[in-house]
Amino acid sequence: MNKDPYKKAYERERQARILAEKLLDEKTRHLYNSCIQLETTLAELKSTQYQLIQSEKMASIGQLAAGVAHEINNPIGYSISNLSVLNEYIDSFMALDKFIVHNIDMLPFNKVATEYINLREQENINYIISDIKPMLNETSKGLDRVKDIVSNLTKVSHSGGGEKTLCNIHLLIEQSLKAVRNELRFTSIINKVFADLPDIHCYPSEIMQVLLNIFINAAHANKNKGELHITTGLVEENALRFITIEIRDNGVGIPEQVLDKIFDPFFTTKAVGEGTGLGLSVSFGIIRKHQGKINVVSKEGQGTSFTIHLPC
Amino acid sequence: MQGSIYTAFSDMIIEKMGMVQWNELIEETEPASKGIYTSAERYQDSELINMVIALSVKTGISAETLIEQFGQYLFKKLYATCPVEVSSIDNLKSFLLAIDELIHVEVKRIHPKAYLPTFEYDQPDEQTLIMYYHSKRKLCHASVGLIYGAAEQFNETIEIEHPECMHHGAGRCKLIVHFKGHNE
Repeated sequence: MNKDPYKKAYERERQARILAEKLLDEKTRHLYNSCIQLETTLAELKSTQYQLIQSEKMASIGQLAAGVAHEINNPIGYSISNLSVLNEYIDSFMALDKFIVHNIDMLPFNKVATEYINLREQENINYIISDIKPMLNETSKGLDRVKDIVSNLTKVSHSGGGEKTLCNIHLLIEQSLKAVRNELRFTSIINKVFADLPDIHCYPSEIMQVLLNIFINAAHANKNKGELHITTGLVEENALRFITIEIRDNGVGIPEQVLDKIFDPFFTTKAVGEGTGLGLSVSFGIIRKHQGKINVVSKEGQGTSFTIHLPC
Repeated sequence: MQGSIYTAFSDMIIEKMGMVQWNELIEETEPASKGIYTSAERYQDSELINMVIALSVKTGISAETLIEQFGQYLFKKLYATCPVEVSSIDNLKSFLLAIDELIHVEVKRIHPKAYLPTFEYDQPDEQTLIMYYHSKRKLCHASVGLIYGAAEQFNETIEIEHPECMHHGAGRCKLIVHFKGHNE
C-alpha cells in the first residue's frame, strides 16, 4: 500500500530537523568546551601576569627599600648609640647640679652662689630637669621605631641569610596562634583543618612572622565576632610539591581597587600610627625568599583568604 | 521550557493519537509559537500546560497522569540525544544520583539559559532512594514519569511513592523510589 506522500515527506523533514538539532547540539558542546578552555587560559594568564607584575614591582621596590635601609641604617646606628651616651652625660650634669644646689649654703663665695641660683631660675633649670628624661625617652623610642622599620625594609627585599631548619609547620601555626591569643580571643572563632604534612626546611621565626601578620590582620577584619579558618594541605604544581596554608576570615574584606596594593610597602588602610604598612610586604618578601608564593582572594563584606605555598 | 520538551510532546501526540489530533490541539490552544517547535529554542511554559489541559478534557485522563506518561515518553527521547559520558552509566540508581552533577551540567552546556529543577537525595537503605524535587514549574509528575522511563531504560522494576507534593503545599516534593530488582 502506498503511504500518503505528505506523510512520507513529513517524516523526512522530521528526520532532517532531528539531525539538524543533533548537529547543533554537537557544535554547541564543542563551542562550550572551547569557551571553557579559553576562560581557564585567560584566568591562568591573568594570574601569571599579576604574579609577574607583583614580583617585578616587589623586586624594584625591594631594591629601593634595601638601598634606603642601608643608607639610613648607619646614621640611625650612631644616633642611637650617641643618645645612650648622651643620656649618661646628662645624668652626670644633673648630679653635678644637684650637688651644688644641695650644698649651696656651704659655698664660701655667696655672690657666686646667688648668681648660680639666679642663672638656674633664669634658664628654668628645674623645668629642664623634669622634661629632659621623658624627652630623651621619646627620642629613643622614636629611633628604635625607625630602626625596626629599617630592619623590616631589608626583609622586604628578602636579603639576609642564616641556616634553614627542618620545621613542623603545624607547630609554627600553633605557636603563632598562641602569640596572638589576646587579639583573636574576642574577635574570632578558630577552626583548624590540618592535613598530614611533611616537615619543611624554612626560617621558622620568619614564617611565624608571616603567620602573625595574617592572623592579626584577620583579627582586625573580624571586628564583630568572626571565624578564622586555617587549613593546610599538600599540592603538586609543575612537578614540584608544596605545602599550602590557607588562612580565611569572614571579616570586612579588602576593596577590589586596593587588592593589588596590599603587598606594597607602606600601603595601609589603618590609621596613622596604627600600622606601618610593612606587614604584608615583609610577608611577601619572606615567602619569596622561601621560593614559595602568597596569594590573596577577598570579597568586600564577605572576608579574605590568604594562601601560602611553601616548597617541600 | 526548552524546545526538546515540545518536540518530544508533539512526537508523542502524533505517534499515539495521530496528526489530526495534534493539529486540533494546536488550533484549540493557539500557542504563541504556532506549534513550530525546535529543540534549540525555548517556549512559554503555558503552551505545554494549555495543551495538557485541552488533552485532559479530550481524553478524560487527569492532567497529572498525562504529564507522568509524557515524562516516561520524554525520557527515551532525551536519553537518545545524550553524550557518551552520560550513557556510560549502567544502572538506574547511579543515573538518578548523577542528575544534578552530570546530566544537568550537560544540559547547561548546550542550553546555558535553561532553568532546571534541583534534586536532593537521601538513601535510607540499599533498596530505597529518596529524591527531593524542587522547581518553580512544579512538574513533579513529569519527574515521576522520567524516573519510570529511566527504569525502563535500565531494565529495572521500581515503585515510586509521592507522599509530599508541591501541589499540596509542600516546599518540595518527596519522591521515594523503591528498587525491586532487574527485569528478566
